[in-house]
Amino acid sequence: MKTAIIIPTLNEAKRIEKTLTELVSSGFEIIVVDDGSSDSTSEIVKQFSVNYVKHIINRGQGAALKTGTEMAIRLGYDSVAHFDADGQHRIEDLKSVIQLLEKGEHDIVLGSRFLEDNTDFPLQKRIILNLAKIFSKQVLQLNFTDPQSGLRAFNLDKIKDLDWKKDDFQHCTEILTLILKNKLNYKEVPIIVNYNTEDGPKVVRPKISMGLKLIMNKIFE
Amino acid sequence: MFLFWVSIWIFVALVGTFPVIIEKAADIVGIGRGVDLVIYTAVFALFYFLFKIYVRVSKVEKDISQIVRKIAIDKAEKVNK
Repeated sequence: MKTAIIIPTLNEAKRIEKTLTELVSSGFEIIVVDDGSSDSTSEIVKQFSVNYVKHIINRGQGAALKTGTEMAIRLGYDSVAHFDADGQHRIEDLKSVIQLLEKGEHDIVLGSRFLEDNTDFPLQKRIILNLAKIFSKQVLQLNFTDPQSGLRAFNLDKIKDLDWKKDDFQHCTEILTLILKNKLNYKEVPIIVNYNTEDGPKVVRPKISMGLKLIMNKIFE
Repeated sequence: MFLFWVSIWIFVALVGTFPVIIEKAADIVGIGRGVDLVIYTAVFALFYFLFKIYVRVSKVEKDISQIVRKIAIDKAEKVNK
């Protein structure tokens, strides 16, 4: 089973070099989707023998992953895995997610930071992720242990059932919604995320508007 | 569209000169004052146009993503060859 690792990225020139070095030396086949970076990302990525696809303008992580998926289909892959560019995901977890998928018992495998909860979260992040989890379960009716996780792998033969439309952060919940709606066979595996990368933790600000957008979609779509 | 705006101005001029027009219309529909009718109609029209714009913008965003995706993949495939 040929798996392509799709890595969406936006201005992670410093971090992606390390990530790619480790992945390439582990023998993975990679499709980097550059979502309109303005830094030196393209120069750095082109040094590696990976597929490089660049959005001329920023469209959002959901759009980048979709582009990567389409590229993987064109290149003849059987399955894909989504992996972060910034070094927060561990290669061991990528391997375990893919290995489980290769067993052929599931359509999609989802990495979860909360299944065994061994990740060392910065306090603010932990609070926000737990709130997101409660929100996801109670308001969106998506009962997953880590609804915002970006580490997943799935078979491309099921891609019609996983045809997410959202270009932005909402693709995460949309994928989960599609899994339940199309009754896909999914499995969560525990992963650990590294928040203490070399140049300090990344700052991502969740906003109330994000929650509101998700609610609107839940009600009206 | 030009005709649309001209009609609006003609309507405004007429109503300004003969306010009895909207008072009569309000009576027919059953709303208190003529001004109320104008405001309710305006609000309804605004919501309608906003909705049309929202639908349009959503389609445009989708189209943009499709274009950007096609350019990205075409370029990548060219490089591969």
